Amino acid sequence: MSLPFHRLATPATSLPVLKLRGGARPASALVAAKPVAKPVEAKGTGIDVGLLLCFAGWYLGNYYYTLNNKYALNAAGGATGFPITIGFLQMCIGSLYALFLWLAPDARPLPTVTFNDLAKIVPVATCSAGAHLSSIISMNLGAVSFSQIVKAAEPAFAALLGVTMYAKAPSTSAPAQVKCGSCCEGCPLIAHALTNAMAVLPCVRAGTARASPRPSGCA
Amino acid sequence: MCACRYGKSISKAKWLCLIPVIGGVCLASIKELDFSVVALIAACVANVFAAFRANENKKVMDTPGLNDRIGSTGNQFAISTLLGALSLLPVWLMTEASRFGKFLEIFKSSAVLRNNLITSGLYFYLYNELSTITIKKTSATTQSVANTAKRVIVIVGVALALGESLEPIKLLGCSIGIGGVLLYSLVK
Repeated sequence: MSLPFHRLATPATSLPVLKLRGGARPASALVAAKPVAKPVEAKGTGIDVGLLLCFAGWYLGNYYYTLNNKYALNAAGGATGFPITIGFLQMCIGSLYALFLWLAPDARPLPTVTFNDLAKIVPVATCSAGAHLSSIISMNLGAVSFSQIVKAAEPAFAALLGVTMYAKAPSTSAPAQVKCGSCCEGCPLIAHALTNAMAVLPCVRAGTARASPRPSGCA
Repeated sequence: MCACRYGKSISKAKWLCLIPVIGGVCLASIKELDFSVVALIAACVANVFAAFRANENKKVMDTPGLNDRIGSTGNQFAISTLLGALSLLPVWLMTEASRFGKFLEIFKSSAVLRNNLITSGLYFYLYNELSTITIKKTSATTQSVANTAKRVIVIVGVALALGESLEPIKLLGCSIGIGGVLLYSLVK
């Protein structure tokens, strides 16, 4: 998203938070200069407070998950304990939370997926769950830091899998620019999967949504 | 760059980046005091699952209209978690379900297990959802750097908090491996 003309086109309007600040103290040259300087740092995507909180929550959540997970595994007996029970129950807790968000008033609108849609998502969900369970078994037996280091090598596995099992030509249905956008997103997203994230379904959509302002030579 | 996403071919530069990734992991394994072969294999299996997931995910998202029917990131996430929990049920029934009575005993008597199990379940759901939201909002380069930073923070932070070994060789291997992953994500 580091497009020079994109930045020039919308120097301040893309960052409402900064615009508000600028409006509060219009006389200050420093404040006036900020909306121009910040988008360069943010590479045009508009790094805002909400996004920074997302980052902080992601890092902290991941840290505390990893830590509490190990404490729970140890408390249940360590190597001779209950890694599968714990991994399964963690998914159940997540499911309960998800159900609560659907049932709670004013929370989330229900999806309108069909049975066929669900059947298609099953492989993705199973792979996520499998990755989760394997990680837990690994972290239960050895040092957590060691498991994490091995899991950092996920791109190597993705690369091998990509060229062996999924060798196919790019789809011709999407316009070239859309494909290009998805590509730029693709590799880091696969790299992201190594951080034991669950299904990252909307990544393709995010890629297509941001494809239009990209120059065609970005890949 | 399109290679890994569309399964065509991977550039030479990317392949070269995988050498430090694998080498770094090997180096980190050498001096691991708490080394276990099963732990190594399980972590590799997790990687295979994650790689399959990324590819399967791509296929699913090609389904016309599916994104609209799912509605939101939150919904997509909820569905995936529910189906994932269901898929783990048979695995659990076949393995540890027979010992569930023992687990319940520990669960009732140990506040450490209770609290950490419930909080880790919630943290797991929340951080995964947050990471998805974050990734939707940022550029590819930011994602690579952010992922790398996160990995370093979690590895070092957890090792310190749990009092795990952080031998110089393990740290070196970790740095080389993660540096390789970062390069892999950034290089064209």
